[in-house]
This record gives sequence, C-alpha cells and structure tokens, in this order.
Amino acid sequence: MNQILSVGLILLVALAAGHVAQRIRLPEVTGYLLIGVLIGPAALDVITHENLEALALLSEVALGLILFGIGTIFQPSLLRRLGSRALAITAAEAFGACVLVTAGMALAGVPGAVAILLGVAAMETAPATTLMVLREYHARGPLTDMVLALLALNNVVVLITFGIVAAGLGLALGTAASLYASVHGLFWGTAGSLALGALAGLLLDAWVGRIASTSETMTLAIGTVLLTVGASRALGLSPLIATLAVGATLANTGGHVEALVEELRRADPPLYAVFFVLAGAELPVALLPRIGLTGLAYVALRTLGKVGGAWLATRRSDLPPAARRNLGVCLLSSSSLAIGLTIQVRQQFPDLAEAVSAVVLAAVIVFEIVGPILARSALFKAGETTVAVPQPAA
Amino acid sequence: MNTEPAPLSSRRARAAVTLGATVVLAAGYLVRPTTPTATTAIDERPAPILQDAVRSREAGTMVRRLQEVASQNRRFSARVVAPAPPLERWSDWSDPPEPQGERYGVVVDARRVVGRVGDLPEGTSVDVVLGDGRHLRGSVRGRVAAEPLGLIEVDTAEPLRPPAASDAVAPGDAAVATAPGASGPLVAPVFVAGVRDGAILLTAPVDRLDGMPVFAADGSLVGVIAASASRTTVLPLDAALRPPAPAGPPRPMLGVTLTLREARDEGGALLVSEVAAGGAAARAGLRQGDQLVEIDGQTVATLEAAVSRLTGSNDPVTRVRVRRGSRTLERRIDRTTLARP
Repeated sequence: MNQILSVGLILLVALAAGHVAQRIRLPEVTGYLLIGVLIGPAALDVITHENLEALALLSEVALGLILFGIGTIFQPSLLRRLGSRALAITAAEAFGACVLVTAGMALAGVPGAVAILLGVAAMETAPATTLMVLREYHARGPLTDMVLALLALNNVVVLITFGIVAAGLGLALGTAASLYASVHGLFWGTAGSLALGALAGLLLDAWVGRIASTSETMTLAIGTVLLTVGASRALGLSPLIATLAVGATLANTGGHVEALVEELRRADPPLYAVFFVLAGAELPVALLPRIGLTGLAYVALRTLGKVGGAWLATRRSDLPPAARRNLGVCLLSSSSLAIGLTIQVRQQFPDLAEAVSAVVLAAVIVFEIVGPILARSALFKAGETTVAVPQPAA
Repeated sequence: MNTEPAPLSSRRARAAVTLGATVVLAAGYLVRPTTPTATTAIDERPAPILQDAVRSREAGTMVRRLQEVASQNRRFSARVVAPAPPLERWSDWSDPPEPQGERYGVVVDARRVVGRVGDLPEGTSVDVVLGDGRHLRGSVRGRVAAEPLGLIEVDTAEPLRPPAASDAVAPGDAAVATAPGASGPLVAPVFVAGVRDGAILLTAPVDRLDGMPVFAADGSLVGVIAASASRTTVLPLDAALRPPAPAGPPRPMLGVTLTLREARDEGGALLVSEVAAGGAAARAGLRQGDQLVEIDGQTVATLEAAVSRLTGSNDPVTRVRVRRGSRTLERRIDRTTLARP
C-alpha cells in the first residue's frame, strides 16, 4: 500500500491498540509493539517491507527527538545531584550485564569473539521504550530521575564500548583495515558526534531566544534535530550521540530548555505511535522459536547483570529502598541500539554475524515485550506513578 | 533557588565550545582514513557485503541507487533474439526442443555486441534489441574465450557507444546486472566477493544471465557475466573478448551429478543425484544418494564449492569422503582410468 495510507493506518491501529493495552493494564508501548507485529511482515503483512523502508525516515525523526529529549535531562542541577551516582550505576549495570553474558556465553562454548559481542549488545537499554512508559504514567520521583539519567548515560557508554571492542576485535581478527582506521573510527564516532551535537545545540539556543511563537519554536527544534541526524549520517558519525549532545548542550546554556521540551512533547504522541508500531513491525518474530538454550541463557544473564548490577551499585546510596529494589527492572528494555549493533557486527565481522544476530534479535523481542511491562510494575511498586491507570472514556 | 549560572551561559564558554567543536570536526574529517579501492585477491574470509551501510535501511538506499545505475546504463546492454531452431523431425512437432532461454549482450564497440550465442553457427542472423529500445539486425561473427559468448556484428547507421570500463572493484562492492528482458527491463543487484585470476567473483550464482553486463555503482562497466567459467563469475570485457583457446584433448568428466538439498535436521546437504554408468565416479563406487562431505580433504558446503573442486583440479585423482546412511566412506575418483572412445 502507499506510504500515506500506511501511516494513516498505523496511527489509527496504534490508537486502538493503546486503548486495548490500557484496558488490560499493559503499557501503551506494548500495545503499539504488538499491533506492529500483527500488521507487519511477520503476520498479516499489511505493512510490508517496502513500507518499512519508506517510513524509515519517520522512525529516524522520532528517535532523534526522543534522544534529544533525553539529552535535555543533563541539566546542571540534576548532574550535580545525580551525576557521579548515575555514572557508577550505569557502569555497574551495563558492565555487569556485559561481563555476565560474555562469561556465560563463553562457558556455553560460544566462540570468544561472539561472546564478547553478545556481551556488548547486552549492555544496551532501549531509551525510547523506557521513556514512553515513564511518560505514560507521568512518573515522578527519585526512581524516575535516576532512570532518566541512566538512559542517557547508558547509550553513550554502550556506543563507546562497542567502538572500542569492535576496534580491538577488528585488529585481533584481522578484519580491520588498519590500527589507524580503528582508532580514528572510535575518535570520530564519539568526539566527532559530541562536537556536532554541541554545535547544533548552540545554534538552536542562539536562535530560539529570538523566537516568540511556540509553533516556530517547534519548527526550529525539529529542524535542528533532523539537521543533526542527517549531518551525522553524512559524516559517518553516530546520530544517537549527536542528538543526545544537542539536548545536553541546550540543557547547559541556562536558557529555554523546559519550554522547548514542553513544546516538543506536543508533537510526541503521533510520532511515538508510528515509531513503536514500525519497531514492532520490524521485530524478527520468526527468530523467536530459534532462540534456543543460548538465547535463553543470554536473556537470563542479561537480566541478572542489569538487575544485580543496579542493586549492588545502589546498596549504599541514599535512594529510597523502593527505588533501589525496582531500579534494575526498569532497565531491561532492549531494541534499536542492539539491532543496530548486530548490523554493524554483520558489516565488520560477517563470519560472526549469524551467531550474534540470531541470539540478540530473539532476545530483543523478549525484552521489548516484557521490559515495558516490568517497568510499569516497578513504577507502581515504587509509588512513583502520579495518576491512576487512565480509564478510557465511557 | 539555585543561582549558579549554567556552564554555557557565558559568551566566552560558548565561543570556546564552538571553536573546540569546529576544530574536532574539521580535524577528524581531514585526517580520516581513505577507503582502499585496489583489487585484492580473494582470501578465505567472506568479504563484508555492504561497504557503507550503517543500518539495514541503507540496504534499501543501495538497491535504489543500483536501480538508477541500471536504468541509466541499460542502453549499453542488449537482448539477442535468435531464430527458433527448425523442427526437423516429426517428433519435434509434439515434443519441441527446450527453448534456449534469454540471450543477453553488451555493446563493445561501434558495430559489435558480445553476447550469448551458445551454439549458433557463424553467420546466423539474429535480432539485437538494445536497452534504449532500438531493434537492429545482426549476425554471429565468431566465438570468444568465454563460452557461451560470441561476437555479433550489427547493421546500424548510427555507431553504437560502448560503456566506460571500471578501473577496479573491491570485495564488498555492490554492482548491478541489467538488460532489456522480453517482458521488461531486468535488474539484478550483485555483490563482489573477490577477484581471482582477473575474474570477478560474485557472492551468489547468476546462471542463465550469460552475456548480461554488470555495472558498478558509479555506472562504469565491471564486466560481462560468463557463467561457463563458474556460476558466479563476471569477466572484464578484455578478458571476455579474448579469442578462444585452440581445442585440446577432451577433458575427462567425472560422470556425477550433484544436487543441493535442504536437509532439515542438518542444514543443506550435497547429494549425489545421479552417477553415470561407466563414469569415473561409478568406478570409484559412488552411488546415488551419497552425501558429499569432503573433497580432497576440504569440507564442501555449497554446490559451487563442490563443482569448483571437482572440476577445477588438474590432479587426475580426486579423493572424496561421502556419507551413506550411518557410514562414512572414502573413495578415490581416478579420471585416468576413464575409457576413451
């Protein structure tokens, strides 16, 4: 079907699916993902592979805006309050998952390089899915603040770690072009992306001060984010780090960040709906039966690493006990970054791609569906949902 | 209320960040390593498939780009329409010979096209349909080294324009084979696996496309498909146009036909589907249904690899290991014992 028809259909089925999800006390994002699976190529094929390719732009826009929004939480006050603790927790949960998965896979007989790549993929927490759950339930409190900070830091840490690991493995396996190419790639991917994001953020800040109209503010913000994503891809940088940096830069200019973020939130709902339905349609559900024992072990070890790492790092912190107990399960969602990593693995290590992809993609399906449900439950247990589950209008 | 100013609230801080970011971007971009483009010999590792894809959606962008290249360069390609073979026997009327399949070609100079002529005799009149829609008359004017290709001279008032040849291809390069098919343009994206002995190896077989030109992403001509050399080979034009080698003694055949069958429990299985009576394989004790596991000590997983090893070796004796039921057997196929007519 043509793309406009498919977007219209996506929005309407997402609306219906969100309502159904709420009725059965599931997060809206789970409804979006499941309806995406249903209407996507894996099931009814109403949304075809060609549609998914053509609508990729919308997903890019949505992801860019999501990461921009996450970047804006790096405000000085929050950084002062949570900065060092968030960094410690990120290190514990991300590297906890990485080490456990790598060791477990290696013990299970998976080749060393594959085990390491699986470990890196296990570090990732899906920013969009988790943020969507926090917003749906208007979550507020110390757990929410910490989860937001961890979402931002986690993605940066994962991308840098993957860069280092890929460079190292490339040199060790002889698939890298040269040591210089590996080092430059790492530097360019992180410092270059941060630099681009900083420039875009400063540009945005300089311009937004001259605008009074709220609609123009939204145009400026969306335009800047898209410009950043496009420039990142043209220059071979990381759009994720760059858009995070735009938000973080804006948050530290002392200006207009809250008003801007509020304005952007008005554009969120349809973009999020399209993004998550497309994400669901792209989930390789056919791989789920092939998850096998290796995949199940991956799921178990990643869960243990994330939950255990977060708990260990917060044991002596001043987070309330309810927040400490429920922090780890809020970090279980996994999606686009893990999928992106498997694609880069396929590109750089084609020998290993099959083994890595099958396990990671099957596990992503599990975590994408189960993760938001657990996060919702955690928010309720921590008492940080400020509204009851919204009831649909009679 | 917190009255500390934000880190980037001062002009000096912003200027410093702007300058620093600009320097990082400029320096990083200027000192970036260049992508190697020299041809390389294929090695044991499979080559990366896409050179600059970051996400799977870029595969769609790459395919669209190749479609554009195909559209722009199809004018250099051709379809050769040969006369139908005459029905010589009464039995042909009820059981006509198998159609030869499409024949494709590419313009090589102002008056000639190289294309799949198969066993058409020299002087045979053919129709040549160019990719730009022109219909020309031509005649077969000799064979080239790359069977089943041959030269066709066309009758045209306006000289033909050959495409520009590509300088070099590298493993992982994307390319596109294209020609005007009988029922519409044909476009087949292909990927370079490597270069060996001047021939460009592709990652997937392209049989039945003999004579079809292959263009690189920049629109230059990589070569022409000549599946007789191997099912995955593209020959640069200069190699394809070499005159045929003088005929030597016939190469003894092994007398075995292989098929690749999907065995659900073990992945694809290479099976011997037919053993010619009296052939070298039959003498060695191979039987229909044997699963081919190793040839000359090397595991073979694909049909191409097996055929390549069986036919490519100059050693008169080929050692094979086959699985028959629950047993694993070693057999030596000796081509020198083949009885010659």
